[in-house]
Amino acid sequence: MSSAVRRARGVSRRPPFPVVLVATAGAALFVAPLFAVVWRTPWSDIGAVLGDADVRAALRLSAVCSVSATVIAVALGIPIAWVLARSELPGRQLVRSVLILPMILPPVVGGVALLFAFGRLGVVGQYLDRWFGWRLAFTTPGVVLAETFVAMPFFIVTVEAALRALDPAQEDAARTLGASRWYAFRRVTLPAVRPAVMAGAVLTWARALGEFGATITFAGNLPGTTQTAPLKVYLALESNSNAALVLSLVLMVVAVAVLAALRDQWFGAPFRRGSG
Amino acid sequence: MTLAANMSVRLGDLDLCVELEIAPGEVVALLGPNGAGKTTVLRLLAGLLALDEGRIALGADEKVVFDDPSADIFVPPERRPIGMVFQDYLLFGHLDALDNVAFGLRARGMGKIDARRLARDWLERVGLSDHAGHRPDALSGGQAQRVALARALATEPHLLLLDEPLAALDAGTRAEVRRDLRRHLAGFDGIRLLVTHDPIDAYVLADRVVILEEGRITQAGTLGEVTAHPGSRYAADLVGINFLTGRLDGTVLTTPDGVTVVTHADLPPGAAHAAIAPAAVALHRQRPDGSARNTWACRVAGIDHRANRVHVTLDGPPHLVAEITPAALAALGIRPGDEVWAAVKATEVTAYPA
Repeated sequence: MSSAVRRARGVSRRPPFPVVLVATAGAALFVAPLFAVVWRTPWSDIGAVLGDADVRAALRLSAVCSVSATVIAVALGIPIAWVLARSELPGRQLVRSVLILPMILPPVVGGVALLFAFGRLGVVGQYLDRWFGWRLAFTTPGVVLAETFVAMPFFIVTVEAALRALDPAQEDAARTLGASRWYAFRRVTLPAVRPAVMAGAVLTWARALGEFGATITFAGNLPGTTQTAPLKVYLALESNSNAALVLSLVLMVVAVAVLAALRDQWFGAPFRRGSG
Repeated sequence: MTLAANMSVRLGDLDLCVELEIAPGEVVALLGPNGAGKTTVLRLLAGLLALDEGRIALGADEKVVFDDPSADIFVPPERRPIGMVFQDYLLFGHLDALDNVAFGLRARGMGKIDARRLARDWLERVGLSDHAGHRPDALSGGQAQRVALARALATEPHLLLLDEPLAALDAGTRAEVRRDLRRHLAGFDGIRLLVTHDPIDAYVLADRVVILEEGRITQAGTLGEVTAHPGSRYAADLVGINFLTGRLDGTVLTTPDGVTVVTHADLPPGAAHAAIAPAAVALHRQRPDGSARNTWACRVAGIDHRANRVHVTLDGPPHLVAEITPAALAALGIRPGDEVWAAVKATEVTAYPA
């Protein structure tokens, strides 16, 4: 009787049992592999693995290349996002599609495309080689290029959305106060989208750090020059699974740190506050 | 510095064609219904929009030309000596009140220390010294408005444009902020143009009103002139006056829907308006046979209590508003939908040429 009364007083919002069951099974799909890495990591070998010259080189290369790719993505991505958000050019939708394509393109295909564009015999690459003596394929700059190609769309998409959400009247107000368009952009627009720039940069960096397919296709797998941490993980799996596990753990910790940073006030609070 | 603006622009549904002249030191209120083009006028003057045709110039001999398409002149907003207070203030959310006020000075090349010192003076003038370090989201509506005003005035503009400066405030604080605004506007000697849809703002703040409807100026003058002789239904509603328009012949005005009104006019025949104060409209249950020359059978559309007065809206023809006392309402015993007779003496009907 009492349970009947209670049920009548409110509609239960709990999901039905079959839904909970499927959701739990689905979640296990994510939890199990992460758990397995942590479980199998040879904790006593961590010091030895991280002391290995090849592993250190791979980690150092990953850090340098992913940070470089992020810096390039920010420098190029802000103007691109600005143009996409504000210009009324007729081909804008097409340009956006092309710029965002690497997000959904298989990275290997991206690597092949880069090879045919910037390889030593590529459409653009042959001239870079002939005129300037620049070779990108199978070099460290090639790694940076591959990572930028794959990761920059994340930055563009994030910042463009923020610029779109921004009230352009803020810039009008700046103009009536004597600000040139450039001054208004630097002092009003950029600070207003700073949280999105930060979030976009972190996402881009994380994607660049994990880049594998485009990098190995375009830049190869040369220890010390183009062998980044993900490549090293893949290779180590054949010979030295302990190294693969430790490196995987390092990359996982970085990923968790990125998630934590994105939830942090630094990124969260200004978003909530809005554009003012 | 006189502002002489002859503005013509087409924007979507709006076809704006406005000629405006404002004398030095004058405060003008631009009144009009939504979509009339009031904000567009401000944006044209500020340079946030360009003219299709016409000319905007400032100065004794119209020396400083802001915009003149025929001469291929367009001065961008940042090089016009203007200050603008936007409807929702548009304070910069990432800057505190002090840096908001200093923004214009910094944008014009002043060093940070000097700009902040001047900005502090301005904040003091609007009574917000204690809030210099507050971000806009920590300011009340009235405070944000004062910061916006200080920000616009800090660059010492010759032309101050205010777009509905009180619209974003709740009714409780509006009267107080309006009084403050009047004081601050009085301390500024440039040209002030204020957009509003509230005649109280115009009454308290402005020397002169300009009424804009569908992109055209329909009337300009003091609020007293508008109240005595409203030039359109909108103007009449704005100042709360009954308005009839039609053809005058002798003393009788005939409206297009056939209502005849005896006026005390002495005008040549032709198109004319007639104004009747709501207090001059008497209501009766039976057809009155007194001295009133105008009687109409109407239906009560609405009864609206205001302070110690009652406004009775009547469906006609003619449509009228009668202002009576609560005691008179009680004696009449009318309710919405009831038949009622409205009576107006001819001497209470002011007729004037359209």
